[in-house]
Amino acid sequence: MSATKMKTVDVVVVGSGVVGSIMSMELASAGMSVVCLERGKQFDIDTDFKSPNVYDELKFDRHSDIFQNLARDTITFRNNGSQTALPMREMGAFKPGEMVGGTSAHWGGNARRFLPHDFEMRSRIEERYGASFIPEDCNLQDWGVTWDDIEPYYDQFEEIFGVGGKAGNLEGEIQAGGNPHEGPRSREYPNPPTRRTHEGALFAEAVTSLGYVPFQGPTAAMTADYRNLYRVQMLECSRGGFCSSHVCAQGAKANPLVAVLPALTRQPTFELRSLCNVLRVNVDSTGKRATGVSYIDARGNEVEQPADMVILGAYCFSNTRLLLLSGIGTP
Amino acid sequence: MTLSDNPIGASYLYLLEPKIRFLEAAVEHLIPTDELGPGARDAGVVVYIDRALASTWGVHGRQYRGGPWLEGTPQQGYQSRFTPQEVYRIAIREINEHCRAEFDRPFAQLAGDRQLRLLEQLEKDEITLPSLSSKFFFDMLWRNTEEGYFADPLYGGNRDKVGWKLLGFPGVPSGQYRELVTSHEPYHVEPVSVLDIQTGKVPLDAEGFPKHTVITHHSNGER
Repeated sequence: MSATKMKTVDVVVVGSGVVGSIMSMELASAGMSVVCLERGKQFDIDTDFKSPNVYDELKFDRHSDIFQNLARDTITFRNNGSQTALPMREMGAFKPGEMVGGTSAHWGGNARRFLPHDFEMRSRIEERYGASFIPEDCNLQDWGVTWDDIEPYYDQFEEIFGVGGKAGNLEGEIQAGGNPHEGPRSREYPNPPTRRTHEGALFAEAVTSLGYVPFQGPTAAMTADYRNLYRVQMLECSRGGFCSSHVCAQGAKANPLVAVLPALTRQPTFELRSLCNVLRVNVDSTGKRATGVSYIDARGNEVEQPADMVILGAYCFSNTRLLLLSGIGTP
Repeated sequence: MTLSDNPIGASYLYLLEPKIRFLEAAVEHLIPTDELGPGARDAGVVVYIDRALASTWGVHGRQYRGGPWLEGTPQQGYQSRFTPQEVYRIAIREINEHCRAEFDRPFAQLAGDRQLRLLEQLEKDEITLPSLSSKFFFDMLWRNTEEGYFADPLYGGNRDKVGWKLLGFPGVPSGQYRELVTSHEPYHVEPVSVLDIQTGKVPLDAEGFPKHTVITHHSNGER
């Protein structure tokens, strides 16, 4: 049976997690027609993650259906080249999501930026220790973008996800109360830092006496009621815990479900299709230009979605797998 | 407390005798009843294990079950081709066979110190069972015992929230935590479970959070 061919759109986005949802929002609000394909289910944020069952740790630590159904599809892995890669049969510490909103629906909200040297790890190490310091077979690389390139986007992300924290470096000026080692920020966090717990205060006092500079880690759990860049309202966190692995019952932990999708689904040029599993990126006869994607829809039919632009936002493993299945690049 | 006191009920979905007796004896060694409170048997851990085995997990309904089948490293996790239902069925039978051959009676009928020694041997993989590693079974039993003792009573274990009382874990959060963030006072409350809220045992505030009851008298001292 030949694939159904859909009408060409400007952009097709694979995955509706943190990358897919924000890219969709930015492109749709610029007036482009965007189709977002998500392999997972659509949950109802108003009813599916409510008290008391949202506080079931056994479910959300091990068995929840917000995680990928490994019976259908999984990854294989090994810890070094001498081992045989084997399937991840059971969900462990690594819990890939399978839902509209993606894995970030159940992230812990720990919203740190990379340090400037993280983007230039190879250059910085060679600069400091000499070119011969890094073994020949070590595949360490610079990212190809620097802190200065990425800083405006970090800033934008923090405005979308309502990150709370205290700047330690504002345009090169070290600030009391923040992380003095961070890269220069263009402005303060959109929300205040978390209040220090009693245990945190004891720890801070102890490390200060040893000459360290403690600071409150930045978090995407709202430290105040907040209206974000997309004009979506999120309420202050009640400090109830049950964050990582859980979806927040109060919607106080920013994720695509609460911070992006309410605005995104109002965009007239945006369409979300859940339960659609992308098979490959289609390319033209030169093999150099993507022309869209093919996927299996909820009813099991193969569908072709032509697009002028293809964005892969399905996490590094699925992105790489899709590229290789499409004949793009070599392992 | 008897099984019938448990709001989950006393029915078994998967396990039958003599496996229930085997498991009651085994889990009671893993978390024994002592001066700190009830152990795993009285906490309903075997009911928990029964329900876990009858659940989607028991048949690995959401776990990858295709090949290749290789032993793998400890870091590569579960690589057995047996489902948990199969592991319990095979291992308990084979351990009881081992006990009958060595001591003329099944595990549950042996003296307590003998049972404990056998569990230690299983943990160290010192007993060779025909079909699977004894340590593999022990690790699954220990994991399920921990789950049954500390998971929400919704699942049939942690009866009367004994696991949470032992730890001082308050369970479902109250709406007061934001005000208490900077407090240095220990927080001693009656734990609240999902089951408590589902069965209407705990009053809720306007936002739907349970109202916690502070424990003023510590009958169990500073445990």
